[in-house]
Amino acid sequence: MGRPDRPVDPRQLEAQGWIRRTLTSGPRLEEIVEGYRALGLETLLVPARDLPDPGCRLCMADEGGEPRAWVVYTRPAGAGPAGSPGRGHEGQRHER
Amino acid sequence: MSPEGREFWRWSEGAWVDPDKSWKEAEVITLGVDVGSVSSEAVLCLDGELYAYNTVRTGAGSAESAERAAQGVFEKTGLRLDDIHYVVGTGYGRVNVPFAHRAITEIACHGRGANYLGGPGVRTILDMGGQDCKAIHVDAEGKVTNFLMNDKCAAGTGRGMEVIADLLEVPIEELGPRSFDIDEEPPAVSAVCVVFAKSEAMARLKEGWSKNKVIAAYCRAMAERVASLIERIGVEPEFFVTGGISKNIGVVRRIEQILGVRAVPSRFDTQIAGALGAALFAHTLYLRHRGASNGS
Repeated sequence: MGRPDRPVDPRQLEAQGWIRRTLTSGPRLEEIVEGYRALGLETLLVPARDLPDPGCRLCMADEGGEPRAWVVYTRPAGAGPAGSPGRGHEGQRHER
Repeated sequence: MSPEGREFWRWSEGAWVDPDKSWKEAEVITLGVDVGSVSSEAVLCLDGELYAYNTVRTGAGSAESAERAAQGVFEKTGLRLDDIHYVVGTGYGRVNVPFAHRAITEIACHGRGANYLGGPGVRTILDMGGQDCKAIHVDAEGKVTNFLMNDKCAAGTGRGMEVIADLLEVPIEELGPRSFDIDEEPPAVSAVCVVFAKSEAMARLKEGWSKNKVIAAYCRAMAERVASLIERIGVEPEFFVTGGISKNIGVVRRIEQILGVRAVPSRFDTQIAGALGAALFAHTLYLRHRGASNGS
């Protein structure tokens, strides 16, 4: 799973076909990534920072410079920058 | 917890056995164990049919919780672990079911279990668990085709509801029905975070709101939060709800109202969906294993 080294703009990610799925951490993170890859999707993890809600910032603050939580993005495998997220619904079925 | 030590957040644990079935007549007996962040379930299937289940509160360790859940269903049926042909573990601590032959993801198990409980027409599943919510799309066989989970947060989960039950000193099983015993539907609690929602609930009580009105506001907040998750993935009928909060009609009815759909009813406790799916996967895997061993 990809992890960018510098801050990313969510709008840029969307333009590249990435769809925001969830914010999570720990064992759940691995399970979610595994689940999306089983559906044939690429995954991208972005550190959960700049959260608007004060409660969220309290719970998700970095620990010693390391992100406590990650935002999970997906897109169809091989979609590349021109990938389309689908018609009105997040994610899409992967026809095998 | 109240000063008297009563735990309003504590929900009922217990076991059930189908009185019309006997494991002594079964060819294949399988066990599914779902260790969640808040509750753990064990389900027994006989030849791929639901036979018995047990629900306990998850303890400090997932291995110990798995053993407790399984032990409860064994005591109820007279079975022992040695009698089980195949065991699948799942859930938040799925890798810590020490006696499982295999671990399968919670999402896959929920899809399979919901397919059994709600029927092959189920396409959209909402699982409202102790610490997260999942919206899952499945096909006619219960195979997952898409899913979404809520952002990591106690709000919109069973844990958030437990906090409210304890704060208001209302047994958690009464929250749903009491949320409808109001004169007028209040606006949802505005705070996203359960810590701040707790403060807001206390402020409303001081303003003169009844407990039922506060409960209704919190149920509405949870319903709106969960409904927005489902709307992101899309609602394809039939719609089915699993997890502990599925027993809270205050949340479920409000979700149905917001989405304009009715959830398919179930004869059984839908909190067992994950463990049931695990037991059904165990049945399939055992038959495959047995077939391979026989050279077929």
